[in-house]
Amino acid sequence: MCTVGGPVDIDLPPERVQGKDYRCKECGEKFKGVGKKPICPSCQSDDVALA
Amino acid sequence: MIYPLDDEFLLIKGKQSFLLVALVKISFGLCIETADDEYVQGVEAGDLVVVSAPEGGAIEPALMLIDLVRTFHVPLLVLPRDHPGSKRISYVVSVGPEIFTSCSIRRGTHPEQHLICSSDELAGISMKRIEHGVDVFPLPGSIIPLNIKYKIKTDFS
Repeated sequence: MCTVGGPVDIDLPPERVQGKDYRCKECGEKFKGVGKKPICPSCQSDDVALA
Repeated sequence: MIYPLDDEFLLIKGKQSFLLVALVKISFGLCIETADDEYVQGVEAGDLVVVSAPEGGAIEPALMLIDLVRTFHVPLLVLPRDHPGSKRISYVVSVGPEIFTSCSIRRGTHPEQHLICSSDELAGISMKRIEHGVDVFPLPGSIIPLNIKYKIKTDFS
Protein backbone atom coordinates (compact mmCIF):
# COMPACT_ATOMS: atom_id res chain seq x y z
CA MET A 1 0.00 0.00 0.00
CA CYS A 2 1.20 3.47 -0.77
CA THR A 3 2.49 4.99 2.40
CA VAL A 4 1.60 8.35 3.83
CA GLY A 5 3.90 8.41 6.79
CA GLY A 6 5.78 5.15 7.03
CA PRO A 7 9.25 4.25 5.88
CA VAL A 8 8.35 2.98 2.42
CA ASP A 9 9.17 5.77 0.05
CA ILE A 10 11.48 6.49 -2.85
CA ASP A 11 13.98 8.97 -1.53
CA LEU A 12 14.52 11.27 -4.45
CA PRO A 13 16.85 14.25 -4.21
CA PRO A 14 15.32 17.75 -4.19
CA GLU A 15 16.84 18.52 -7.57
CA ARG A 16 14.96 15.60 -9.11
CA VAL A 17 13.08 17.84 -11.48
CA GLN A 18 15.37 20.05 -13.49
CA GLY A 19 13.65 22.57 -15.65
CA LYS A 20 15.18 24.75 -18.31
CA ASP A 21 14.44 28.44 -18.52
CA TYR A 22 12.41 29.39 -21.57
CA ARG A 23 10.98 32.58 -22.99
CA CYS A 24 7.88 32.59 -25.17
CA LYS A 25 8.43 34.36 -28.48
CA GLU A 26 4.72 35.09 -28.80
CA CYS A 27 3.89 36.71 -25.47
CA GLY A 28 7.23 37.11 -23.70
CA GLU A 29 6.30 34.86 -20.76
CA LYS A 30 9.28 33.37 -18.95
CA PHE A 31 8.90 29.91 -17.49
CA LYS A 32 10.77 26.83 -16.38
CA GLY A 33 9.97 24.03 -18.79
CA VAL A 34 10.31 20.28 -18.38
CA GLY A 35 9.87 17.60 -21.00
CA LYS A 36 10.69 17.39 -24.66
CA LYS A 37 8.20 19.87 -26.05
CA PRO A 38 7.99 23.09 -24.03
CA ILE A 39 4.75 25.02 -24.33
CA CYS A 40 4.06 28.48 -22.96
CA PRO A 41 1.66 28.28 -20.00
CA SER A 42 0.17 31.69 -20.77
CA CYS A 43 -0.60 31.64 -24.49
CA GLN A 44 -0.06 27.90 -25.18
CA SER A 45 2.39 28.67 -28.00
CA ASP A 46 5.18 26.23 -28.72
CA ASP A 47 7.23 29.03 -30.29
CA VAL A 48 9.60 29.30 -27.35
CA ALA A 49 13.37 29.65 -26.94
CA LEU A 50 15.87 28.92 -24.20
CA ALA A 51 16.29 32.06 -22.12
CA MET B 1 -3.12 -4.99 -24.21
CA ILE B 2 -4.23 -2.19 -26.49
CA TYR B 3 -7.39 -0.22 -25.74
CA PRO B 4 -8.72 2.27 -28.28
CA LEU B 5 -9.78 5.57 -26.76
CA ASP B 6 -11.33 8.68 -28.20
CA ASP B 7 -13.44 10.88 -25.94
CA GLU B 8 -14.21 8.14 -23.45
CA PHE B 9 -12.35 7.04 -20.30
CA LEU B 10 -10.80 3.68 -19.52
CA LEU B 11 -11.50 2.38 -16.02
CA ILE B 12 -9.07 -0.18 -14.60
CA LYS B 13 -10.76 -1.32 -11.43
CA GLY B 14 -9.28 -3.62 -8.83
CA LYS B 15 -10.98 -4.92 -5.72
CA GLN B 16 -10.14 -1.89 -3.60
CA SER B 17 -8.71 0.72 -5.93
CA PHE B 18 -8.87 1.98 -9.47
CA LEU B 19 -7.10 3.83 -12.26
CA LEU B 20 -8.87 6.04 -14.76
CA VAL B 21 -7.20 6.83 -18.08
CA ALA B 22 -8.06 9.37 -20.78
CA LEU B 23 -6.33 11.13 -23.65
CA VAL B 24 -5.29 14.78 -23.80
CA LYS B 25 -7.40 16.50 -26.45
CA ILE B 26 -5.18 19.45 -27.38
CA SER B 27 -1.57 20.36 -26.60
CA PHE B 28 -1.03 22.72 -23.67
CA GLY B 29 1.47 23.78 -21.03
CA LEU B 30 0.70 21.95 -17.80
CA CYS B 31 1.78 23.93 -14.74
CA ILE B 32 3.25 21.89 -11.88
CA GLU B 33 3.47 23.87 -8.66
CA THR B 34 5.96 22.74 -6.03
CA ALA B 35 6.79 24.45 -2.74
CA ASP B 36 9.81 26.15 -4.32
CA ASP B 37 9.07 26.68 -7.95
CA GLU B 38 6.76 26.36 -10.92
CA TYR B 39 7.51 24.00 -13.78
CA VAL B 40 5.69 23.79 -17.09
CA GLN B 41 5.39 20.46 -18.84
CA GLY B 42 4.48 20.52 -22.50
CA VAL B 43 1.83 17.89 -23.09
CA GLU B 44 0.64 16.87 -26.52
CA ALA B 45 -2.67 15.72 -27.92
CA GLY B 46 -2.87 11.99 -27.38
CA ASP B 47 -0.79 12.01 -24.20
CA LEU B 48 -2.33 10.25 -21.22
CA VAL B 49 -4.04 11.73 -18.19
CA VAL B 50 -4.24 9.14 -15.44
CA VAL B 51 -6.02 9.43 -12.11
CA SER B 52 -5.32 6.90 -9.41
CA ALA B 53 -7.50 6.24 -6.39
CA PRO B 54 -5.28 4.00 -4.25
CA GLU B 55 -8.04 3.40 -1.72
CA GLY B 56 -10.93 3.40 -4.17
CA GLY B 57 -13.93 5.70 -3.86
CA ALA B 58 -16.40 7.24 -6.25
CA ILE B 59 -15.54 7.35 -9.95
CA GLU B 60 -17.06 10.77 -10.55
CA PRO B 61 -14.36 12.84 -8.79
CA ALA B 62 -11.77 11.08 -10.94
CA LEU B 63 -13.73 11.91 -14.10
CA MET B 64 -13.95 15.54 -13.00
CA LEU B 65 -10.28 15.66 -12.07
CA ILE B 66 -9.27 14.46 -15.53
CA ASP B 67 -11.41 17.13 -17.16
CA LEU B 68 -10.09 19.83 -14.81
CA VAL B 69 -6.60 19.01 -16.05
CA ARG B 70 -7.04 18.17 -19.73
CA THR B 71 -9.86 20.59 -20.59
CA PHE B 72 -9.49 23.42 -18.08
CA HIS B 73 -5.70 23.16 -17.61
CA VAL B 74 -5.85 23.39 -13.83
CA PRO B 75 -2.29 23.29 -12.40
CA LEU B 76 -1.05 20.26 -10.50
CA LEU B 77 0.02 20.84 -6.90
CA VAL B 78 2.91 18.89 -5.42
CA LEU B 79 3.09 18.75 -1.64
CA PRO B 80 6.41 18.97 0.17
CA ARG B 81 7.62 15.70 1.56
CA ASP B 82 6.09 14.87 4.96
CA HIS B 83 3.32 17.38 4.43
CA PRO B 84 0.43 16.44 6.74
CA GLY B 85 -2.08 16.86 3.93
CA SER B 86 -0.60 13.96 2.01
CA LYS B 87 -2.77 11.48 3.88
CA ARG B 88 -5.94 13.29 2.83
CA ILE B 89 -5.29 12.99 -0.88
CA SER B 90 -7.52 10.26 -2.19
CA TYR B 91 -7.08 10.97 -5.90
CA VAL B 92 -3.76 11.67 -7.62
CA VAL B 93 -3.10 12.53 -11.23
CA SER B 94 -0.24 12.22 -13.72
CA VAL B 95 0.08 13.38 -17.31
CA GLY B 96 2.48 12.20 -19.99
CA PRO B 97 3.11 9.85 -22.91
CA GLU B 98 3.94 6.92 -20.61
CA ILE B 99 3.01 6.47 -16.97
CA PHE B 100 3.94 3.73 -14.51
CA THR B 101 2.06 2.86 -11.35
CA SER B 102 4.00 2.47 -8.14
CA CYS B 103 2.97 1.73 -4.58
CA SER B 104 6.36 2.85 -3.25
CA ILE B 105 5.93 6.58 -3.50
CA ARG B 106 4.25 9.02 -1.20
CA ARG B 107 1.09 10.34 -2.72
CA GLY B 108 0.98 13.88 -3.93
CA THR B 109 4.64 14.55 -3.22
CA HIS B 110 6.45 13.61 -6.41
CA PRO B 111 6.44 15.95 -9.39
CA GLU B 112 7.70 13.36 -11.89
CA GLN B 113 4.79 12.81 -14.21
CA HIS B 114 5.86 9.36 -15.37
CA LEU B 115 5.02 7.89 -11.95
CA ILE B 116 1.68 7.65 -10.25
CA CYS B 117 0.91 6.37 -6.79
CA SER B 118 -1.27 3.27 -6.76
CA SER B 119 -2.37 0.47 -4.48
CA ASP B 120 -0.51 -2.83 -4.28
CA GLU B 121 -3.01 -4.58 -6.52
CA LEU B 122 -2.48 -2.10 -9.38
CA ALA B 123 1.26 -1.48 -8.94
CA GLY B 124 3.75 -2.19 -11.70
CA ILE B 125 1.46 -1.34 -14.61
CA SER B 126 2.76 0.58 -17.60
CA MET B 127 0.37 2.76 -19.57
CA LYS B 128 1.70 4.04 -22.86
CA ARG B 129 0.08 6.27 -25.43
CA ILE B 130 -0.50 4.81 -28.86
CA GLU B 131 -2.34 6.16 -31.87
CA HIS B 132 -5.92 6.78 -30.66
CA GLY B 133 -5.57 4.73 -27.51
CA VAL B 134 -3.47 3.32 -24.72
CA ASP B 135 -1.32 0.24 -24.29
CA VAL B 136 -1.68 -1.18 -20.76
CA PHE B 137 0.78 -3.83 -19.59
CA PRO B 138 0.78 -6.01 -17.60
CA LEU B 139 -2.81 -6.17 -16.50
CA PRO B 140 -3.73 -8.57 -13.69
CA GLY B 141 -5.81 -11.38 -15.21
CA SER B 142 -8.86 -10.78 -13.07
CA ILE B 143 -9.24 -7.16 -14.22
CA ILE B 144 -11.28 -6.29 -17.28
CA PRO B 145 -11.10 -2.58 -18.11
CA LEU B 146 -14.34 -0.76 -18.84
CA ASN B 147 -15.01 2.17 -21.12
CA ILE B 148 -16.88 5.08 -19.55
CA LYS B 149 -18.57 7.95 -21.33
CA TYR B 150 -18.94 11.18 -19.40
CA LYS B 151 -19.68 14.75 -20.39
CA ILE B 152 -20.13 17.92 -18.38
CA LYS B 153 -23.45 19.51 -19.31
CA THR B 154 -24.55 22.82 -17.88
CA ASP B 155 -28.03 24.24 -18.39
CA PHE B 156 -28.54 27.92 -17.71
CA SER B 157 -32.18 28.90 -17.31
